[in-house]
Amino acid sequence: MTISNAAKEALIEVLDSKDETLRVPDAPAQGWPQTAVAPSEVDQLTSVEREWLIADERLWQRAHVIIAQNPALDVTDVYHTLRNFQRTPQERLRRGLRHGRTRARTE
Amino acid sequence: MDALALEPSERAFLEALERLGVRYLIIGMSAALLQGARGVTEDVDLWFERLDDPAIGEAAKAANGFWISGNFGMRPPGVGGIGLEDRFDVVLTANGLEDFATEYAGARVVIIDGLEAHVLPLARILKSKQAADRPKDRAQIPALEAALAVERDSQR
Repeated sequence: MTISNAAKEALIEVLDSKDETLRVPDAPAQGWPQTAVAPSEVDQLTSVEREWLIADERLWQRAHVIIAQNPALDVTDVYHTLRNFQRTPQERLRRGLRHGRTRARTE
Repeated sequence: MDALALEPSERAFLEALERLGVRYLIIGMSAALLQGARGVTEDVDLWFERLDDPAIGEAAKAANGFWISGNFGMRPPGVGGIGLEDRFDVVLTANGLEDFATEYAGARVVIIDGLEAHVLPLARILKSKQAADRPKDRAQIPALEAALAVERDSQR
């Protein structure tokens, strides 16, 4: 598996982190495609988007670290929970209630 | 009139996918809720026919987001950015299901906020949940079975 330069930068940033609990796992989760993103795709992003992507990659890495300690959990669930922890309590409640109360119309 | 089910960015993304002719299926609990199952979910699971379709990126841009078609470090392929955040999950492994073309042929068309969307039928969602067999999948099975029973009864 090859890793794009932008991904490498993100990984280096994480490895340089003072956070001792954050360690880059060896490979993507089982069943996931092993194809790395084309560097050109990342190059097309704006600086704000690129920043968002790198921050998001950190959350996925953190999710995998948590999964390593709690193998029964689902990595996607942990990732979404990490994102939720970044939201304010009001936003968490708003999202939960909105999704809980909404019923889409089927025709 | 019903309240809208989708956030503006979610609608913009699905509208652009439809306009650009991207073939995808809504699967998982979102698809089940659309067909009458009771439950809650915060994410919409999308199964794309081709992850390398450049039109997915165009659609994400239309929703003030972006699309990354391969792994970025440990991040799987998916949409992102300020507009779309983590609102959609991209399905990489469709447990217990046939290939995309087969499932798409049997999909139901549902109207969501005025948009046509292809969704996996309840019986196929149940099969997928049974195959995945994680605790959260097992917890959702009674709601799916109840919806299927009601659906079958209403078709008599």
